[in-house]
Amino acid sequence: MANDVCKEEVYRDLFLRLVEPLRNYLYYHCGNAPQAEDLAQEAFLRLWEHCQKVPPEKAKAFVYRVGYNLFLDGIKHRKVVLKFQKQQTEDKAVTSPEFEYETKEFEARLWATVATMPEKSRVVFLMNRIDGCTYKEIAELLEISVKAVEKRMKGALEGLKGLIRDS
Amino acid sequence: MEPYQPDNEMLLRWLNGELSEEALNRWEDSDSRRRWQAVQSALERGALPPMDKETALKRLLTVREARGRARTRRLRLLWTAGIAAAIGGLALMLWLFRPAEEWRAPLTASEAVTLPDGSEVKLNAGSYLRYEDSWWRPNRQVELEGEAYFSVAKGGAFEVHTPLGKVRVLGTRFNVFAREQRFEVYCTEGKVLVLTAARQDTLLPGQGVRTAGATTDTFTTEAIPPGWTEGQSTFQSAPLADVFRDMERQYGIQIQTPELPGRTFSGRFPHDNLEVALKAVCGAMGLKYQVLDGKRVLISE
Repeated sequence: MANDVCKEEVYRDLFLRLVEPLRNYLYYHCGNAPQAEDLAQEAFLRLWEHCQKVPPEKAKAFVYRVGYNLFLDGIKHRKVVLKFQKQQTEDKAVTSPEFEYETKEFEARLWATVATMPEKSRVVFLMNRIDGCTYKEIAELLEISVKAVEKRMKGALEGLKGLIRDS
Repeated sequence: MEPYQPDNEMLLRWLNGELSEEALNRWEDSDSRRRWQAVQSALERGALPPMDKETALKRLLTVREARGRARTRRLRLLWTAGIAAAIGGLALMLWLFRPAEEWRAPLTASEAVTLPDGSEVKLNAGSYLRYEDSWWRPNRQVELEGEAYFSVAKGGAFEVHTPLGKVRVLGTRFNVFAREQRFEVYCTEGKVLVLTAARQDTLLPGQGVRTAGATTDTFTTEAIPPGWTEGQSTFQSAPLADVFRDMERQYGIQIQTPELPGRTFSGRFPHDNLEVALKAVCGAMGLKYQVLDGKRVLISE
């Protein structure tokens, strides 16, 4: 049925299943957790407004697209990326560093590298590495081809290679 | 031995656990592999904490409802105006034969309600008003939880019922506050009869009566509409805890306070600027405040 998403249980179920990965996805864009959560909420409010036009199987891609557009609408980009970097370098205890690359400095440099990666590469890379999304899943969510996902993954590796070489 | 450096293709396959045994063995002692592993574990440590999805859902539904209400209300006003212009009499009939009406002002905003007899009610944030049509015609009677300012059209007896007492009037303006254990009524025009379990008081303009727990006393005030109908909260020797509860409702936030026994506040704060509001209250009381994340505020001595 076309208006399934308008049904309260369907809508709630979609929210409970999708909101966390969506929040993470938006976080990889903006680098600010509360903001990512607000954007995710707003995307779901838009889904409700358009529930008659969005079939349930398209709801996933819909909230990802709307969330990303909302992020683009309201944001000065560079500022946000810097926050991402800062937040990540706060106290993260690493137990008994044995090698240089197990130290906090390494971690700080890693996140600095992540923050300055091309945004689209960063988002795809973190979805794959942190959330464990497969390329196919990412391609469906972002409405791009699997080839494009691979390309973005390689783009992310280029940035990290420098870090690996120099540590 | 030359350290083995995998190319991008291989790295990706390794990251996704698709690298063949043989290739894996070749890379086994390489230092770069340990570095890539360090990258992976650092990324995992950088993941956001799991989300409290049930709470997020509740928050979503609250916002959704508040927006939906605003929309249907606007539509209803338009609709009513249109019909009234064309066939005013019929519109009035429709109003009169509607079933029980409920109004709930969302947190952070007050709401104006016009009753079928033309009386105006302004509901303060987080308040609830209800009336039933079948009861309405002979005795004008509404139920209230929270705070509201009434401008009653002339007519028969008009009653406001609250869990803490009731107010009876003929045609007048007055404010009613009924939350938790505090019940407060004051009159700005005409004459009001206030009935609680223990006593009854007749109020003239500028007079008020206040019940908090077991004690009831009368007070005088300026005979003007309450500040909250004009976008600010005003207080006269009000318990400080009540002041912060009101601020929570006006801004839709949570305020954590230390114990504040016996402290009272006289003054006002605006409804459109949280910083100014906090400064007004905390400045006067010698308290410190800290806005944690836009939704929570911490008050300290």
